[in-house]
Formats: sequence, structure tokens, C-alpha cells
Amino acid sequence: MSENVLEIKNLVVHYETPDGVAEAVNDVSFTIKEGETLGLVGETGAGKTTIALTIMGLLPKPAGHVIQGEILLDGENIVETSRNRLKQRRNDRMMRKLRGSKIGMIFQDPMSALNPVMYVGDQIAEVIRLHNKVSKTEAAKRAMEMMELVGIPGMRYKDYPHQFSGGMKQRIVIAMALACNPRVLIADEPTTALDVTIQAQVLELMNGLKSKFKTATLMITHDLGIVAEICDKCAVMYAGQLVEYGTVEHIFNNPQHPYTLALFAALPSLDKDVDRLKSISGLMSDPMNLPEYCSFYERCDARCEGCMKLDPPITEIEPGHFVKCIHFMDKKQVAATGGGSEHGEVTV
Amino acid sequence: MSEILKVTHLKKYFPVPAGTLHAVDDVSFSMQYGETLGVVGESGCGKSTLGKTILRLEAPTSGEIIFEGRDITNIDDKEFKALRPQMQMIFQDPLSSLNPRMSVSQQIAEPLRIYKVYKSKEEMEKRVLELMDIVGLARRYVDTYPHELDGGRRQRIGIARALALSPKLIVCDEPVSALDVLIQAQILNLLQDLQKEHKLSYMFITHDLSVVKHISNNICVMYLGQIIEQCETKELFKNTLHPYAKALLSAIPVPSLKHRRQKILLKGELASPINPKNACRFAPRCLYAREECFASAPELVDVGNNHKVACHFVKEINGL
Repeated sequence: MSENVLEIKNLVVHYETPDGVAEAVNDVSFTIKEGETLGLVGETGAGKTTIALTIMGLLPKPAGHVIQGEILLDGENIVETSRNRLKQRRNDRMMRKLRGSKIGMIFQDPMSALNPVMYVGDQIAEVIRLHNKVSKTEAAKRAMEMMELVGIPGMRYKDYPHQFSGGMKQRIVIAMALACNPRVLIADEPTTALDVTIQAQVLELMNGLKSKFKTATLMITHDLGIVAEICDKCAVMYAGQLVEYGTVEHIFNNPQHPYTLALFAALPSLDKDVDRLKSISGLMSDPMNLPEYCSFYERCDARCEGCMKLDPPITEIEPGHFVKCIHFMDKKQVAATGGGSEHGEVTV
Repeated sequence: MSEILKVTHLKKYFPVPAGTLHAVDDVSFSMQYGETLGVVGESGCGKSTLGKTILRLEAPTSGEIIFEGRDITNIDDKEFKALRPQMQMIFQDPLSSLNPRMSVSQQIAEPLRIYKVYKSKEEMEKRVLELMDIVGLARRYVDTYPHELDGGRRQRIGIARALALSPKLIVCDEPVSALDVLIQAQILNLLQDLQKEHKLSYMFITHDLSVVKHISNNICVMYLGQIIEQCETKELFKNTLHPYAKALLSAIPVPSLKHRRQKILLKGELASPINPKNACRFAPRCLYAREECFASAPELVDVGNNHKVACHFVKEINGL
């Protein structure tokens, strides 16, 4: 019934620095439908934020480049891979219109996302005025409605950001992001800076708004607990690639990739008593110097000789569940003969 | 086992323009040798100030700190310097607690140098390498600088520094909060191994209840400068009694689809710790608050099983 609002196809993003090329995102594909939330998890430096910045057209210039791939917003491509300056500038102009109207953003630190010398109400109204032809009073009225919607009394319209606590500030940022009823909402670690009880309030709010606004949400987080709580789909990232991707049921009830398994094993649990956490040694491969073969090889429990020979493609092991590991490549044929998948994201 | 640390009625107030900020307000607890005491609470509840006050990095306003049977609340700096090697601290952000212009070996050698532990340079260098082995830092990093290392390795330097003088008590202030889960697991395992080997006692300050459950023997839950629930770790997770601790526990996102908890959503946010009234500090957000809660402050009382709770209606709420 619902179509893909956001579709990312074979995205490759590099940062070109004087020291060399950092391959931040390597061939990533995923889709988000209307009203759906995708959780993107991974370690620091895995490339999560780079994907978010690419969707928003905010890659740091001049280092960041989209080398290849498409980002389709309601079927229309919004990235420019050409280095032609005219084309780049045209794309920048288009993105400026999309940001705030069709693409909403929530950042990790609400204080740095708000203007400290402007009334919070005016900041929300500014977004509305920028993207809609409405009068000042109309914009102010709608800003006040948005504030009420996220649980802040409208009478606080003329307060400054410093007069709010962290959780309240994040609510204002959410109100700003949703003010123009965007198609896509990108939330980059929205609750990391908040305390658990406040985090629970904000997550509850986001969950409630999701059904009201029907936005496609990309939720970037390092907390698998948050994914379990509010996401429909989950993508696990490692060294710029998706290593496992599927619905939350796939990832949480039937995780397959050795890295996903390691992530779950390393979490201290509230339900079970474990004497010693399982951890894997080593660090993530340097994006400046990625191996030709599987980038998880060095840290993998299940590595074999074959792993050194090729970089395995991401393979569908059951409908909608993708794993990027050599041990699952055989099963691809099984899945292929057992009826085609409705998704088309297999990137071989 | 006997007590390594005993704190009674400890208070730390800060004068601020608007009045007095009660960062730590009448906190009492004791720690045994080889124990890990977890201190949990949200930001602003005074858990870091408590850790710093115990190490006398902040002068206590009143109360008593007894370390190994000796009252250290008011001893002078000279005497305290002699005591310092026995109590050390590991900080949250290793990058800001390390000197960016010192190499790894200099960082780790610094406490040894200050206390003139070794006469010869060779001996000291040997000890530095030994410490690096203990914390699992490869010897090839001996001449690198903090900015060249990742978060996990930096935290290992911080741990090596804290261990250099063979302390008995280490206050760990959010040592794993800045780290990714896989690295966090490595550091937690390291801390546990070191505890067994060197018979350390930890005071483990964190906001992460799952970490504290994993590593602690006993837990104090703090709210606005006060301990509101204190008991053994197993007891707390099996039998949570204080309404705030219950809400805190229910609010943690669980990484599982099967064990979804019923959430208790609290209204509002932390009240101000400046000039608090003589009332239960949690009352404005509490689901069970009644008149009495706003009229007087509940005391921390033992409800059996060495389980202490500060709540007027603990028995009614939990049907005890």
C-alpha cells in the first residue's frame, strides 16, 4: 500500500583528504516506506552520520564526494555525482528548498541546533515562513500549535533556548523538524545527550508523532535498545557497509552476521546474569585503508580461508533479511528459488 | 571482609548566586574490601560530586569520610598526599583527563615520578612497560600521544595511571560512557580482571543501569543529592521498591523484542537542587505522591534484607 519514500541505491561516499581517500560509505542500499522507521546502528566511524549528511546534502565540502549511487526521495533523485560546478550548485539550491520542508532533521545536541538569541517560537515560525507563503501571524500560530503538539505550553513561545532543559530543547528541535510536515525525518542520535527517564519521554513522543505525520524516519543510534523500541527495520553498519539488514524481528530474533552477534554478546544484559562479557579484540578497519576482502575478517569468530579471497556481496537469506557474509552466499540460491523477493535491494 | 570506606552524613554544598546548591545532601554508605559499589542516577543528581568529595578533590561541607578506619575528612594536604596513592580515580573522557603534550610513557610515569617511587630511570621505565602489559596496551604505543590513539586505548592509559601507585580504592567516574559497546565490553572485562588480581575496591559511578548491574555487588540509586535506594545488586533488580528506581529501571530501552517492559513514564524533569525544601525531592514527579510527601523528607530506612529505601509509603506501594 505504501511506497518507498526514501530509497538509497548503491551509495558510495568518499572523503578526499591530503592524506588519502577515506572510503566512508561503500555501496549502501536501503529503503524506507511511509510511516516506517529504520534504525541505523554501528560503531563510531562506521559511516552512519555520513549517510545522514549525504541525504541532507550537507557533506562537508570540499572533502566529501558522492562517487556513485542514487538517493530517491519519492522517486526523484536528489544527489549529484557529477563534479561539474554548475550542476553542483543547482543541486545545492534544490537541497536548500528540500531541507526543512521535505526532509526534517533532529541532531544529537539540541543546544547547538538552536539559536541562543532567538525566541524558540520564532525559530519554529522561521522554518514555516521559509517554506510556505504564510503571514507572520499565521506562522506564529502554527508554531504555537507545533509546540503544544510536542508537549510544550504555547505560552513559552517567547522564551529563549537556555530557559529550557535538555529534554524540552530536544522537543523544540523535533517541533522544528516536523513543522513543515516532512516526508523524511533524519534523527541523528536524538536522545544520546538525554537522561534515561527523559529519553523515554522523548522516544514516546517520537513514536506518537510517527503515526500522526507518517514520516519515513531514519534513526541513527548506537543503542540497540532504542532500535528494539521504536524501529520497524534495522541496518547494521560496519566500515562503511551494511553487514546485516532486515526487519527488527530478523535482526533481534534471528541475527546472523558475526558482527551483529558480537554486538549483542557485548551488551551487559538486564535480564540475564553474565560473569564476563564477550568482546572481540581489535578495531574497525581504517576507512583510509580498507582490505580487498571482507572488512570484518580480522575480528571475526567465524572466519575461514575463503573470507580472504573476496569481499562478499550482501545476500538475501530470507525474504527481507540481508546478510553480508561469505557463509551465507550459498543460501542465496535457496532463497532465489524459493520465490523472488518483493524488495529489490540485493546488490551483487 | 571489613570496611575500606565508610561515609556518614556527607554533605557538599556549593554557594551559587541563587542560594545554596545541595549537590550531595546527607549521604551515608560503607564499602567492603574488594567490593564494587555502583552509584547510579541521572545527570545532576550529585554522583560525580560524591566521588570527588570522597577523594577530597572537593572539600566536604560536613559529614565524615573514614578510609581504612581513619577519619580523613579534615586532614591537611600534606597528610593527604601521603594517602593519595591508595585512592585513585578513572575519569569519563580520557582525552580531557590526559595531557595532550605527554607521550603514553610520560603519562603513566607521572604518578611514579611525583611520588618518587623509583630511584633509577630504568626501573621506572620497566614499571611503565609492566603497567602497559597489565592494562593490555601494546608496547609499541609507548611513545605515542593521546590524540593518536582511539578512545578504548586512551581509557587504558587512564587505567594504567590509576593503577601505577597500587591503590586500594578506585573511583571510576563513567569510565565506559564515551566508548562503543565492543570497546566498552573490553574495558569492563579489564576492570573486572584487575579487581580480582589486585584486590581493588571500585566505586563505579554511571548512569547506565545495565553496566552497573553487570559490574557491581551493591548499588546506590541517587536522586537530587540523596540516596533513595540502596541494596545488593540482585535484590535491586529483583525487588525494586522506590518509585523513582522503578521508573528508572523501566525506562531503559531493552535490546530485545521479547522482553518488552511496561514503561513507567515520569512527568516533568529533575527539580532544582538549589535551596530544596524539606520534603521528598522526588514527590513532584512521583505517581504516588500525597500531602505527607510534600511536608517532610523521608529517611533512608532498612525494610529488611539490608534493603534501604527513602520513601514514606514504600510499604503501601509495594504491599509489604
